[in-house]
This record gives sequence, C-alpha cells and structure tokens, in this order.
Amino acid sequence: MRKKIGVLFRKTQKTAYTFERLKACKHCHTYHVLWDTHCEECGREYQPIRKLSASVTRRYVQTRFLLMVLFVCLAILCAKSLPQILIAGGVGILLLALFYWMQKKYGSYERDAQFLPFLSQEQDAIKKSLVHHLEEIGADVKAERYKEAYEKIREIGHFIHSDTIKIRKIMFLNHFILRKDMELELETVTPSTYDKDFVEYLREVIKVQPSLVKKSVLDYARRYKAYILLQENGEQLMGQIAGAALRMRPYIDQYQDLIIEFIDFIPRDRFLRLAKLVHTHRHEGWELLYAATKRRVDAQFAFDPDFAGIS
Amino acid sequence: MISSYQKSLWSRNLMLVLVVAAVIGVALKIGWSLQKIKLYDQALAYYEAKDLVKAEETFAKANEHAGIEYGDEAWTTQMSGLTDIREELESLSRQAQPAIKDNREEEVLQTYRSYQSFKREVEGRQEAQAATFFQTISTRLGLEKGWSAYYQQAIQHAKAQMQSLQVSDQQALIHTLVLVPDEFFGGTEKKAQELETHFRRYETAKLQERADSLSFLDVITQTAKSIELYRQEGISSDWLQKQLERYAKGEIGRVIRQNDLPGFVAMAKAYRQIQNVLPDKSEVLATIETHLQSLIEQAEKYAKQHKFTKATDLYQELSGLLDTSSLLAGVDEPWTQFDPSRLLQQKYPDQAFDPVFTGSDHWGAKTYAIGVDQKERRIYFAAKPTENEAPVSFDLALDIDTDFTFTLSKLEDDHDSPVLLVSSVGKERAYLYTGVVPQLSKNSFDTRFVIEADDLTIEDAARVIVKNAVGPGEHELASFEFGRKGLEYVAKLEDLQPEHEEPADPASPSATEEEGDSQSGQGTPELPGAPSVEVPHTPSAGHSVDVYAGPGKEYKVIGQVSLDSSIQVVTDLNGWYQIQFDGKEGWIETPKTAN
Amino acid sequence: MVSYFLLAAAFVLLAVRFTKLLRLKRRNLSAREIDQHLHALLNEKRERP
Repeated sequence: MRKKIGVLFRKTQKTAYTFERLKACKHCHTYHVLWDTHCEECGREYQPIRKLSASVTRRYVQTRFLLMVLFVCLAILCAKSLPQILIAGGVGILLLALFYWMQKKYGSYERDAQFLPFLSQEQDAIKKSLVHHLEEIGADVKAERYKEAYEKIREIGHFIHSDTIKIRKIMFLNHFILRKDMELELETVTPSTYDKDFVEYLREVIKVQPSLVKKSVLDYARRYKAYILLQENGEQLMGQIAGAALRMRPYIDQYQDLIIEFIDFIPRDRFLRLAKLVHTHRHEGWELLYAATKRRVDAQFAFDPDFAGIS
Repeated sequence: MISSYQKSLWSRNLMLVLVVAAVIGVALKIGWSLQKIKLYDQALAYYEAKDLVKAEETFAKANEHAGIEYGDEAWTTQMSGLTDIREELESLSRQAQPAIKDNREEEVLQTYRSYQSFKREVEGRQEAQAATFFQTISTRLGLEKGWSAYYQQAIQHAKAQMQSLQVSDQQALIHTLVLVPDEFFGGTEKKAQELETHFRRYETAKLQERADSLSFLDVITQTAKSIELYRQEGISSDWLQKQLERYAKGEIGRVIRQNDLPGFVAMAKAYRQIQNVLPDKSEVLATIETHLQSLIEQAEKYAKQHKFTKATDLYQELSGLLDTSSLLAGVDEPWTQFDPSRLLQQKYPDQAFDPVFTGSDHWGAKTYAIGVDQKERRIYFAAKPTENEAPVSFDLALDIDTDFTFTLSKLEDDHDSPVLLVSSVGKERAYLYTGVVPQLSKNSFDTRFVIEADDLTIEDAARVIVKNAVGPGEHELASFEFGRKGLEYVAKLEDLQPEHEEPADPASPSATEEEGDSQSGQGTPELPGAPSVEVPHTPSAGHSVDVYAGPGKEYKVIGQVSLDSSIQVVTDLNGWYQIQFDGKEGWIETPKTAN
Repeated sequence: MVSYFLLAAAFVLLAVRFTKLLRLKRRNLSAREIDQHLHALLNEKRERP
C-alpha cells in the first residue's frame, strides 16, 4: 500500500457552462483552463473565450456598418445635382438608423450564433492548449507533484471525459488521504470499464463521503459486481455501496436487488435506517426487501434495542 | 497569427480607412457643391446686371471643381461659351506677348491670324453678347493694341533704315515688311504700292552709292542679290532690273569703246553670272554676245593673216567668256603649217636652236622643223606626220667634236626627201661629211653615210663629187653615187696633185672659212624661235636677189636683198625660202651652187 | 443614376442582414447548446497524450 499524503485541494471554479472555463491569450492565440490569470508566454491577461467571440462579432457588425456607410458615401459622390445629394444623404441616414435599430434589437442572437462557429474554428487551438496542459501534468507526475497534477487534470477533466483522464485522476487521487471536508468526485471519475484503481478509490471515498455514490456508481457496481467481489473485502464494499444507495428512495427502488444481495454487509447504521424505512413504508414492491431485512434483523439484531419494533 | 480574431480586426480597420476616405470625399463634394451654387447665383446676378466679364469670371470659378450640375442649362451653355472665348484669347495672348517681345515675326503673324480668324468666327455666330464679351476681353488683354504697336514700329523702323541707307540685314528687312499684314498699310494694294515706292527709292539711292564707290563686280553682285531677295519674298523688281541693265550697259559700253579687252571679259563674265536675275531679253547680254562675236571674228582674221600670236592671245583673253579650246586648236594647225619651228618649240621648250630649218612634205611629214644646237652637237627633229596626227620628235647626237654646218642637201632618199648633210672638220681630211635622214617610223635619224674628204659637191639627187676621199677615191676627184648603201664610189673623174692635199685643221669656224668658199656671215642673233641659216656656197659678194611676195616667180617682186647681209629664213618650200624682209614676209629662190 | 443604384445596393445589404438576424432569432441558440457543441468538438477525437 503506497504512502498516502494529506492534501488540501485548491478550490475549483464553479461555472454554469464549461466554456466559461476557457480563457484565451489574444496575443499568443493559446487557451488556458487552469487558474492562471496571465499568459505565461507574454504576460498579457487572459480573456474569457466568450468575450473574444463577442469582439469578433462586434467587429463584424462594424464592418457591415462601414460597408453601408461606404455605399452611401459613394452614392453621394456620384450624385449629379443637389436634390440627388440630399436624397442620397437622407436615404443613407435612414438606412444607417435602421441598421442601428436592428442591431440593438437582434444583436444578442447574433453574438450567440457567432459563438458556436467560433468555437468550431478555435477547436484546434483549444485542443492544442489542452495537450499542452497534459504535458505539464506529465511533468508534475515526474516530479511527484501529485497534488498539482490532480488539480490540473481535474480542470481538464471538465472538457475531456475520456477514460484515460478518469483513470489518471483516480491514480492521482489514490495518492491522497481522503477526508470528509475535501471536495471529492466520484461520478466524474467512474470509468466505462472495470478498473481496479477506481474500486480502490471508491472504497476510500465511500468511507468519507458516501453521499457521492450516485446512479452511475450504483450501475457500475451492479455491472462489475463479480469483479468487485473478487477483490479483497469485496463484499464489504458492495455492502457499503448498497448502504450508500439507501440514501434515496428511488435508489432503493432501483437497486433492491443489490441491497438484498449484500444486505448482510451493509453497515449497522445504514441497516438500521433501512429497517426503519422498510418498517415504515412497506410499499408494494419492497416485499423482498422487507423479507431480507427482517431476516437479518431477526438473525443479528433481535436483541438490539434500536431495532425493537421492527417486525 | 491568423485567427478569426485578427482577421476580423484587419477587415474592420481596412473598411474604416476606406470609409474615412469616402467621408472626406463627401465632405469635399458637398463643400464644393455649395460653393458652386453660391458662385453660380453670383454669376447670374452679374449677368442680370449686364456685367458679362464678371459673370463669366465667377462662372469659371464656380466650375473649378467637378461638382454637381446646377442652374439653367441654356444659360450654363452660354456661359461656357464665353469661358471658351476668354480662354482662347488668353492662350493667344500668352503666345503672342512673348513672340512680340522676342520679335519672332512668324509667330507674331501666326497668332495675329489666329486671332483674326477667331474674331471672325465669333462675330459670325450672331450672338451679340459673345461678340461684346470678345471685344471686352480682347481690350483687357491689350491684344489688338499689342499687334498694332508691333507692326507700326516694324514699319517705321524699316522705313528709317531705308531712308538712311543703313540697312544691315536686307533680307530680314524685306521679310519683316512682307510679313506685316495688309491691314496695317490700308489694304493689299496699298501695301504693294507703298512697299514698292520705298524699295525703289532705297534701291535707286543704293545703286548710286554703290556705283560711286564699288567695283563693277561688287555693284552688280550686290544689286543682283537685292533682286533675288525681292524675288524670294514675292516682290517684283523689274524696275531694279532695268536700273541694273542701264548701269551695266553704260559700263560695258565704255569698256568696249576703250578697247579694254581684259576689262570687258571680266565684266562680261561677272554679268553673265547674275543671269538668273536679269530679264529674259537682256540688252546687255545681247551686247556682250555681239561684241564677243566680233572679237572672235577678229581673231579668225588674225589667223588668216598668219598673225597667229595675236590670234592665240585674243583667244586666250576670251577664254574667260567661252570655251576657246577648239578655236585654239583650229589655229594651231595652220600656225604649225605656217611656222613649223613651233613644233620644235613645243617639243623642246628649253632648247635654243641655231639654225632652224622648216618645211613641209619631206620624209613623210606634212610639216617639219629641224633645230641645230651647235654647242651640244645635236640636231633636233620635230614633225607632224599628217594634219591630225600628234607631232613626233627625236634628236641625234652627232659623233663629232668640232663645229659643223648643217644643210638640207640636194641628195634625195627613196622618198624624194632630201638628205641632211653635216659638214664638220675631218681628221684625215679637211672635212667630215655625215649624211642623215630622219626616219619617222623609227623615231630617229638614219645615218646614211659618213665620209671624210677635202671637198664634196652634190651634183644632183643621187650623184656626188668627192675630192680626195678617204678610202676609195683617194687622191682623186671622184664621183660617188648615193644609194641605199650610202655613198658608193663610181668612177674617177681626175687625179689630184698631192700638194692639193691639205692637212685637216682641228675643228674651228675659221677652218671652214679657209676653204675658200665665201660664205654669208653668221646668222643674226639666235633667238629660239627665229630661224637663221647660213646659205652655203654662195657666189661672190655683192650679189643680190629678188624678193617675191610668194614662193614663185609669178608673185610680185616686193624688193631685193643682198646675199651678203644676214637673211632670216622662216621656212623653205619647193626651192623657195621664205624670209623676213623689211618686217614683212618675202620669198627668194634657193641659191643654186655653182661649181 | 449611379447614385440611386448605390443606394439600392445599400438597401439590399440591409435587407439581407435583417433576414439573417431574424433567422438567428428564430433559431434561439442557448448557452447549453453551445456547451454541448464544445464538448462534442473536444470529445469526438480525443487527444491521447
């Protein structure tokens, strides 16, 4: 068992949308998803990508506007008499006013609409920047700066959801002592295939923050039950997972089979909760569960005062 | 780094630049248009106020910038027309002023003409305003005044020059006056008249001045030049031709009267040279021709009179006026015939001959001359084989070293031509006789015989009597025959006493005299052209002969001459000698030897 | 005449822009869609380190 270190992670930025995390250096044409505020190459401040896109859109509008102004000016220049000049001027002003009004009313739609293709255009740059970050992480790993490595990869993980990243995360995470007060992730590191390290991590996490166990984890547990059981203390883990599932009614509904299977390995306090629940709400569909619960209660906790009253 | 961000930036900036330029353009256009409107209205105001000049000026100013169209079209067209007029006049002025200043006549005239035609064109348009405007602008620019002043001054200046006879460049003066437009004289005719008057006055005075101070050649050359100049400028100058003719007639007539032949020739030649400016039927030229003809006839007369030298001299003088080479050639032949010794002079110009024999029809030559150089012991032969052939000449060095006498003997060769006999002092005998015959074909003399003897007498064409010859006939008076082989001994006539033999003396003139034959004295002073010959073996002194006018007894006897005295023989002809007799030519019979 | 043509061209430009803007409004793109698009872009061909 490797030596684990106690760490305190940097706080991660919470954003509504992933693109909000993307920052750009206008000068170097690079992107940055970490916490630095200024570009390491040129020292200029990073701009949110949205702002960049908005600038592009703004300029585009300006260009369009200027084009119209040019046409109007040419019209005036080609005018051959005073009335013609006046008409050209008047109409021109009218057109420009219309333009301005249109812009005011519908400009925002254009901004958003421009943002999408902008991202498509910039995807290579973004990808390149992410790769650059990964290289940094590699360096960190080499230098055994696991905390930094994890913090960085956590940021990247917002953008790329591949198993590779997840597994990297897990590997870094497994270097740390997990505590209740840490901001831990579970769902976002659940890989698509069975991974030993993940299971190991799960074991640790479940101890400190069982509330992290969600549907994906439960599904994973269900899918790879056999592999987990092969592990040392696999049943215990399954029991803990089942115990974590007890937190929410829908979970109990959905994962009855799991609960029933590993009812004997559910920790006491969790089991107590289950017993109380089952006793209180004998819904339809919970018969098996009630039976299993009763069985264990009768077997193990017949003389437990906490369990009195559950029959 | 070409990103969409930067692309957008660039395109926006580019657009901005274009728009700024466009806006500036618009500002300018609007500015100019407003100004144009203002000025147009102003121009219209002036126009209404009948101030065309100011109206047009303002109008032109308004149209400086390409702006908008404005205003009544008809009025605009009219004003544009006025602008054109003003611009045309200003352009003419710009051309004319410097031309006038620098006195470039052709240009001044050209601008003047352009102006006049333009003026006519404008006046022909039937637009009162245009015409008035034209006049106003023209006056303002001082165009007409400028030309008028220029031409008036040119005329005055020319007149002044002609008045004082101080015309430095006549061609320029005439040209200037011709270029002045007719108007400034008051019309085409008036101009022609006035010019002719002035030119005539000038030329007459000038001719007088020249005649008084310059040579004939200079006078006629300068006057001819004047005529030429007038002609070049298209001015007729018959009057000057007449004056010239009159002058020349006087001068040439004078020279003819004075019989100044070189003068006449020079004048005639000079006058002929200016033929191109003379009238077609020039009296003076006719006079020259006539006189020339008479002089030629005179020369021919001289030739007929055998005054060949005079004839040739006259022809030479006249060679300045015509080609006398054929005439000279025509004189040459009769002269040679007359005086064959010329042949010798021509062939041996540095040679002095004494004596000279001339004659004709001997040895195959039509005319011949034989010259003797006693000192050099040479005889020279020059002859003309026929009339048209070139003369031949050759000489012979005599193989003797004493003085000698040279005669045409009675001996005749095959062609009945006499044999030339050279008598010199002999070594073994008193005399050495050499017989030579000129051979034209061989271009040399043929030595027919050489014989030493005490005496030699020629009996006739082929027989000779030799006294005491060396060789056959020694100590004899023998007869010899002259033939192809020379002298051949024929027969003895009589024996000679030994004491009759006398030793030969060294060659000296006195030795020949001691022979006992009286001879005429030495010839008169030897002049290369004056022939003189000793008449050999003449009878005793005191004998005189008749001198006839021609080579024959039928001619008149013009005098007598003593054979003692020196006789100058010019030539011989068929047994007659032509001699100089009292300054005239006479003929005497060839004295016959009697022995 | 040219003047009017140019004005007409300017008007056409404006009209085209107007239609485009209207179309975009109808589309009503949300931030969520954009985010999804971003994820799709980045996760289609993942960069393997």
